[in-house]
Amino acid sequence: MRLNVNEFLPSCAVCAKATHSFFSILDKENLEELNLNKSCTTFKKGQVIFSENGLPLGLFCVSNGKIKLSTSGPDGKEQILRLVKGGDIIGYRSLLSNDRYHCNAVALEDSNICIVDKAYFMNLAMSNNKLCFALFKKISDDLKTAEDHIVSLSQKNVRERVAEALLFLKATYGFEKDGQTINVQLSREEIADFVGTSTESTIRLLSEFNTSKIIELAGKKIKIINYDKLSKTANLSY
Amino acid sequence: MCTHASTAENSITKIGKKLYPFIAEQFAELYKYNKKDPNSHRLSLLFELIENLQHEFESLKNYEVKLVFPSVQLVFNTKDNPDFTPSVNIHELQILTQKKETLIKLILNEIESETDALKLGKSHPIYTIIFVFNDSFFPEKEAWHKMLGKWNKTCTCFAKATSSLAHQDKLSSYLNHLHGTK
Repeated sequence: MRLNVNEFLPSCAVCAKATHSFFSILDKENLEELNLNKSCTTFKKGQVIFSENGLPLGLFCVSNGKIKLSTSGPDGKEQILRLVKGGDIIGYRSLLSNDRYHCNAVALEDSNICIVDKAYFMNLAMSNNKLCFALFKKISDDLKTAEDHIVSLSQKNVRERVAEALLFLKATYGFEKDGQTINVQLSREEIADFVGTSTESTIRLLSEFNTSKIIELAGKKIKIINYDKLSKTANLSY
Repeated sequence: MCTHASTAENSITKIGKKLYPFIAEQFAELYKYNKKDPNSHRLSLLFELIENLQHEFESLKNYEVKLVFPSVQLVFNTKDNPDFTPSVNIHELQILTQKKETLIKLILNEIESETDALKLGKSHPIYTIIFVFNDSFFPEKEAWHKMLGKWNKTCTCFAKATSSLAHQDKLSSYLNHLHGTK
């Protein structure tokens, strides 16, 4: 839903310079032409700019403000893809691939956004080498960010591994009569061996869990005082 | 001894002593090959994913060899002692190992799509890793979990393997003896 169409109408020449926007590579003549092929809108904080599965009608260029791009995971949980600020463009992937939007764009604060006409943008991208190259670069940068994200998602961090090790030890040895203390006494080196990390990291994380009241340490004995929090820390939600 | 003990023993030998060392060998082979390849960005991303896969695989192997397999063996081997109620919760261990296997599957899917995108050619050793996981690791693990699931319902030894508090010291000392811990 858009509000206050054309309430603000900054000149692309001024805006591109001020924000080092995607279009800042265009010359004065192109920027003037771009001015004629856009409409500008203010989105209030929390307003949806576009939604998943919607059809793209143009390219969004953020003049100022902050935008959140997010999608829903299989469990319905929101997954933030990236945050966008003034000078950046959004919605170009769907536009270029002639596809529907794969994510939602929501204004995190009041934001001024220009919408460049689809046909005009496609024509400009095909006829202007500089812009075409900038678009390639943008897509390549996005791809690299996405790839790095894949790697980090598939890698469990040490904190998660320490929590996981405690769950394995509990499942194997059970609890003592108090129903909380793991019925085995392992040295920090032995726990580190299960985790696959250094003894120092293990000691630091066990101490952190102790401070967060997930576990209670008494020498080699480990008491699980918040099992749910320990399971959540292990991040087994895949 | 429980009649299922020898079946469990065979599976443990097959997975722990044959399949896992074979997979470890394939990872070692792959890293030799890696050194000969040009270090393009996408290839280095692929090898980062492979490192994650190996890390997760080694972690699973560590837990299974040190905790899960000895616990299953213990449950069967103590059938003749009616007073012994193990503290291990096989069902809980199964859930934890299945979670790790799901993560392995997710990483492998990423590796498969990256490998296809890079058009490395079917002779590339990465495909051996993908093949070993898809055609040996996952089917073996599926059979293992199916077997444990069946015993959970039908075997009296497994019924005892809950988180009962009785005789936990015996299990602890047994496992500690196996790992050489105090």
